[in-house]
Amino acid sequence: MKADRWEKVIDLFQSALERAPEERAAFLDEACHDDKGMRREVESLLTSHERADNFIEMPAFKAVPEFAPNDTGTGLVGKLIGHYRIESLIGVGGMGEVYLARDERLGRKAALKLLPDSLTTDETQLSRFKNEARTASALNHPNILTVYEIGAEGNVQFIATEFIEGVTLRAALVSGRMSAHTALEIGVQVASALAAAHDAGVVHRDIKPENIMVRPDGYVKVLDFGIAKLTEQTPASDHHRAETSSPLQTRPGLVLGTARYMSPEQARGQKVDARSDIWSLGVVFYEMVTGTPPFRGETPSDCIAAILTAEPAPVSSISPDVPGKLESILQKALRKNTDERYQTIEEMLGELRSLKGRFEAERSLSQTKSRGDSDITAIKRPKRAVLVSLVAAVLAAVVVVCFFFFVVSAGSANEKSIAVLPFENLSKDKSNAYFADGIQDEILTRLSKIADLKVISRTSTQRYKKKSQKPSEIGKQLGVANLLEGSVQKTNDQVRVNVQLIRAANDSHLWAETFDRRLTDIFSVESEVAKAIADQLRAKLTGQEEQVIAARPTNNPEAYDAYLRGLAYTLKTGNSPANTLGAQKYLKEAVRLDPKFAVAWALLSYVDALGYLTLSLQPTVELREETGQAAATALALQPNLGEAILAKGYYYYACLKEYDAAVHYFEQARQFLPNSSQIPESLAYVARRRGQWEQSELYFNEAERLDPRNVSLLTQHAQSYMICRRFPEALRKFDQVLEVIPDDVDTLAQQAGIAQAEGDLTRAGALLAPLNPPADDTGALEIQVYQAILERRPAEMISRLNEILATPDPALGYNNGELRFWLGWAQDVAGDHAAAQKSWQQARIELERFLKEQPDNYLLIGDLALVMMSLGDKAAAFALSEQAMKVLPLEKDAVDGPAPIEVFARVAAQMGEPDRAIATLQKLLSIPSEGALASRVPLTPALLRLDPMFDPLRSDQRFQKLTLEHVASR
Amino acid sequence: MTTPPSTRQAVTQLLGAWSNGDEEALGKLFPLMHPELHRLAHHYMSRERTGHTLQTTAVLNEAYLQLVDNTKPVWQGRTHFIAAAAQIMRHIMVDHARKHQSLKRGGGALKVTLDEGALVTETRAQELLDLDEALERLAVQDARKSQIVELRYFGGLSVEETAEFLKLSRRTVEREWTAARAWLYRELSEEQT
Repeated sequence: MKADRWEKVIDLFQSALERAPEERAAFLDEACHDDKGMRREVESLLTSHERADNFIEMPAFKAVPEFAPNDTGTGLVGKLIGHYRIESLIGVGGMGEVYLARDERLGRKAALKLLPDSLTTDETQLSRFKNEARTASALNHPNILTVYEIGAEGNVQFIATEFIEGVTLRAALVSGRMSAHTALEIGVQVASALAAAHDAGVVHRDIKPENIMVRPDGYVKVLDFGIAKLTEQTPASDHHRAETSSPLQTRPGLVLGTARYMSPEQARGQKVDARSDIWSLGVVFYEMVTGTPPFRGETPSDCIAAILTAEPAPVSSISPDVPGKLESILQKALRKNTDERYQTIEEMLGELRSLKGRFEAERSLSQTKSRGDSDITAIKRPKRAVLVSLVAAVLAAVVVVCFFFFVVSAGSANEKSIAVLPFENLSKDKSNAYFADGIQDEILTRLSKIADLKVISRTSTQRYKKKSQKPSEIGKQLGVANLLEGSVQKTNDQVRVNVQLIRAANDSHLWAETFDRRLTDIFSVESEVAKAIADQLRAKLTGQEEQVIAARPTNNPEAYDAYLRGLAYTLKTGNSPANTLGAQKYLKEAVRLDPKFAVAWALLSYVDALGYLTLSLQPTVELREETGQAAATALALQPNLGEAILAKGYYYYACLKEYDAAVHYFEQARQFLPNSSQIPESLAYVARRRGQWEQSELYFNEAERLDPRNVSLLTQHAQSYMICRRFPEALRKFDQVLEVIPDDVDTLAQQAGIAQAEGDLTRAGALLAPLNPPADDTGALEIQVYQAILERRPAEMISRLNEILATPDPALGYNNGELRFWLGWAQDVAGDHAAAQKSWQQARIELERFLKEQPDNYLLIGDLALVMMSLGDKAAAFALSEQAMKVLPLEKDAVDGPAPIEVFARVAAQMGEPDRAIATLQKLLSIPSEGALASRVPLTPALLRLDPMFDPLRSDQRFQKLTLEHVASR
Repeated sequence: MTTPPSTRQAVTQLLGAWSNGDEEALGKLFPLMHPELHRLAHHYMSRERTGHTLQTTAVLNEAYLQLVDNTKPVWQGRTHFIAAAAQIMRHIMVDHARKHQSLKRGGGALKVTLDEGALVTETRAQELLDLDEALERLAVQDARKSQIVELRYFGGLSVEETAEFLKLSRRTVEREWTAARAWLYRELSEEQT
């Protein structure tokens, strides 16, 4: 193709991609005119793009590691080692290459593992290699790899074993989590292999998916006793002493194996016994049923930290279909204290076996029920059905691994998963949109209470309002197999609701229905739709779930209407004062009209709690009490209402900072809200307030799986990274937010804040220049002012602030006083000290007004401290900043706690107390901290260099050192 | 692991020659960089959370420091090193796949390792060879796209790293990568039918 034509093709391809799919044809019509060839070319690229999925996204040496460089390559193929003829290299492991070979004496296939030349001179490696063979050959069990021979040919050491056709459990897990039953099928065999090993006094010590092979016939083989230890024969009652002591083996303190599957005692480098294998099997099991390992970390040391300190997310929160008994078995296997774990593998194996038996009985029963009597084989031979599914899983894994170029992730979406998309408002009156939103949300909420379904949260689906994307794409983005679309038409007291259930992959309709009802009858429509979908997707409903679906939240249509209006405000992005106030107003109206409306009370409490915490409402004592009462009322009306229990948890978390109680309520709410991302989200918030950053991140990840496009969740996760000074990760998370809501002012402003913290004022300026935050977006506005101050040319921002403060919005409360402080600071930097003093005096008046009714507002107190500092009142400034630290001690709140400390450091810097300032700054730079100003980015050496408030410290050598230090992120 | 000074000097010189257009220098770099790249690949694969974007650069930088005479660090040298590493990785892997194909004609059954379970099949080798050829054709048409794929797929660089390396905007790399992927995917699926 000629270069200019090629460029045109690529250009058109890229331009077409930027358009919505349905607009592309028209665009190409116009752009290609009569050039049919060009059009075909572009269209075929577009089709390929759609299909390419994750084609070549994974680097080659990871996707096809067998071709990646290794020391010996395939040079040995065809050679004879002992009586084994090498046929091909089949893999490279940590301990050497593995070849497929033919045993020329016995005429059978064998796997031959060779210790690399370079290691045969290494005494430790050689012993490890021989030890592996000896320990493995000492064990004779159908689930343990059979060792044929250990030998040496010249310098080459080898082990010959049976050759297994199958895949590793790791490969089988590539396609996602397994059913509890398949996992049991595998887990029981592994446990049984371990029981034989432990019985012979051997601890495996490296149980992980890579060391477990699954054959297509369902047989499982445990491999690699490479670091296993042949322990002294000890009485069974004295298991803890069955530990390692061989001089050739791992010394205590030398950590071997893969971090993720290590037991806590192994991670600490302590002596291990059989109970360490029990732990590792628990980890593998957890990964099989959830698709995700229980303990993770960016680096091995992060991972180890998680193993030692973190509690894994409950299995049921990720895979609600896992039987409770299996969950409790895993919990016991994963007790950090060895004495609380199963003491022997037999004990665990026994429980697994009996669960498996029960499971199979139930399964054959439910198959009888659901399939009718026609499928006799399924009833008579349930085991066979399981085997078939296992084989299917293995084959699927093989296909995935083999055709790594063409993996289609959408194919793996759970059949019982659904996203309820926003309903179209067909009413003549466009202001009825809230009503359509409300119906959608009600149906979604009902579905989400069915544990057998995977339902995507509303916060992720609400962006699909415009019908611009193909169902298959939406399905892929949200990871669901089914979509519900609908429309609502409301005229006077009549409602028409139309719904269609769609299979996302091929856009086929599974079910559609139109309901014409009176407005008072709207709940029955919501119940019927939810029930029909549950039936269509073959979801199993518990009696309680049936009730919940059929529930009528209120009998008062007006109260319901007010509730829907309030709900619509909570669906908007951002905790801006305007949104929070709107929601609060309508929800109060709803409970006034129907004081028995429990869901409305719960939502009111939740809105109040968030407003109190984020200061988007004025955090008065009165608000705090209202929050608690609303939650209590909701619970009194309906003790089993998940939303009410959640609200109670929020009251304890947000208003009282009583974290244990909050976690208790969140966990309790989980059983009623199995699909809610709010549970892990809330737990993530609590964990980080407690300074448990790793644990918090795990919860964030869990919540994002349930709710992948929830911008507020993504934003909070990004802020966690920011607070930990993990700026590149924070920026990427914010990018994810921008993918959902492009050009979002607050997100771009936060990214600018990070650029400021990194000392890149040019980048920050470029990000901020196009933004024009409205007067009530004080956060973004202050980032702009701070930028001007850091650049030390605040003229333009001074006039913008003057303009805004000419007509202050009373709803913004103390924020007006805060803006006034910024105005004073900007004027001061501009050299207009008289005007600055005037602004600060005014700011003092505006802030002091709120002090009495908002005794917990640390930002208000901090602002006032900075104002008094600026006015030169040293005593007052110190007193106030100390008061702020007392209101919010660091021990109570690892997120916001550092902000008052930063205020203290600023006061000390300005008020001639360099020693105290520097000591405080040293501390602040060493901990994750949310900043006290503007974007809330933590202080960094770059900000210390740039911020004029620290000018008095510039000549101090200790301060200079701080500005140069590299701050480690955590 | 330390690399002898003589190797460092040689690598540095060869990189210089290669960047000045001496194509043969790459062939000579191959055996010198090979062991370190092996370590790199191994290191990468054993990472806890694979696919983490910043790691590749970190590891490549480490390899660079190991292999290059860094008494006077030259940024240009580092750039060429990364490009060479990606290219060498491609050569090695394609070469392995080719050898594998020629040795295993008629095999086809699944073979499995004793302990790490890398699955080797005819298909995978063939696909890698096809991709390599398609990439050659792409280079003729559009060298920059081909290089982006080489850096990302064989070098393991993230979009950000590729952008930094090629001195292009992240957006441009993203766009070029998207187009190149679509084109390559089409080439490969056409061959299949």
